[in-house]
Amino acid sequence: MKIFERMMRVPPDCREVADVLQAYLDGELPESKTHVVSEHLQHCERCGIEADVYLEVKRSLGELATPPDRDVMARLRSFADRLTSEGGS
Amino acid sequence: MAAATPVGVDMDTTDPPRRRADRSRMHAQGDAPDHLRDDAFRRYVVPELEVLYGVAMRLTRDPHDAEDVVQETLLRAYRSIHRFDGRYPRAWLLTILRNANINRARKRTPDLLRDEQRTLGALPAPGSDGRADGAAEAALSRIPDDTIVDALERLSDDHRAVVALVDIDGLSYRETAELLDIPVGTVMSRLHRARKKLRARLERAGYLDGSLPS
Repeated sequence: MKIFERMMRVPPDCREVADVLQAYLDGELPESKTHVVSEHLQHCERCGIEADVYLEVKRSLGELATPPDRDVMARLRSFADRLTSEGGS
Repeated sequence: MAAATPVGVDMDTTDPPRRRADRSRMHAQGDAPDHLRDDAFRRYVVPELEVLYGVAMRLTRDPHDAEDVVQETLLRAYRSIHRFDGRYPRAWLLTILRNANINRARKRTPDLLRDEQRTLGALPAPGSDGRADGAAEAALSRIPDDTIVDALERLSDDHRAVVALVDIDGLSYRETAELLDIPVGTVMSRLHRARKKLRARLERAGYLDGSLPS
């Protein structure tokens, strides 16, 4: 992506960071680009606040996750065990 | 998915002779001997059980249906694992799960298929079990569950699905794309727009003050 190449050559401006911020927060940027965005967020108050706001949204959503029922998981593991011992027939 | 290296087994030359013989037989028959199949199944499939069940719950909104879909997924994965190349096992399994769920849905009555609660974007009622710790840290800015669930429910099905799969179920962009059968770029653009809408709604509800300090 052109934006990544440009970010590696010169310090990114806020618009470029905004374009990749969601991928950055999701851990979907390559490591080299992650470093460039991190650097920008440390020095740019506006983008830093923007990142904090979206992180809070992500954190709140993450808290809605519930662990699977133990009994169901035990049955599914047992099913998987039977497949390997019986050859899936 | 390409079948570069069947059952994800390393093709080094240090294998015991029995394994090499088995592999030759496997290629000749287009199938895998049982012990290779079992090894690959335990290595790539079993560790994904919880994720598969979580996603199946989101697809079906019913514990029994979700269990059935996961069992069907396991069965299909076991039978086709000799064609799996060992890369991105979760994405591979989610594709199988999607197809297993489509098959299940086809057998349902039209009424059930039209039921909004059975769409992909439908969310399970949030429970209190298993929440992330850190209540002290969250106390300052915590958004109540009912507020965030309400904001989520107001999103379109397409937007709600990507947000739920990435932020609640923890899938990667690639995995989400496989499950929804859409390009990764579409996942990213939907996610971006969905989060902007969520943010706007949460700000209107009095949360997420994103203004610069004066």
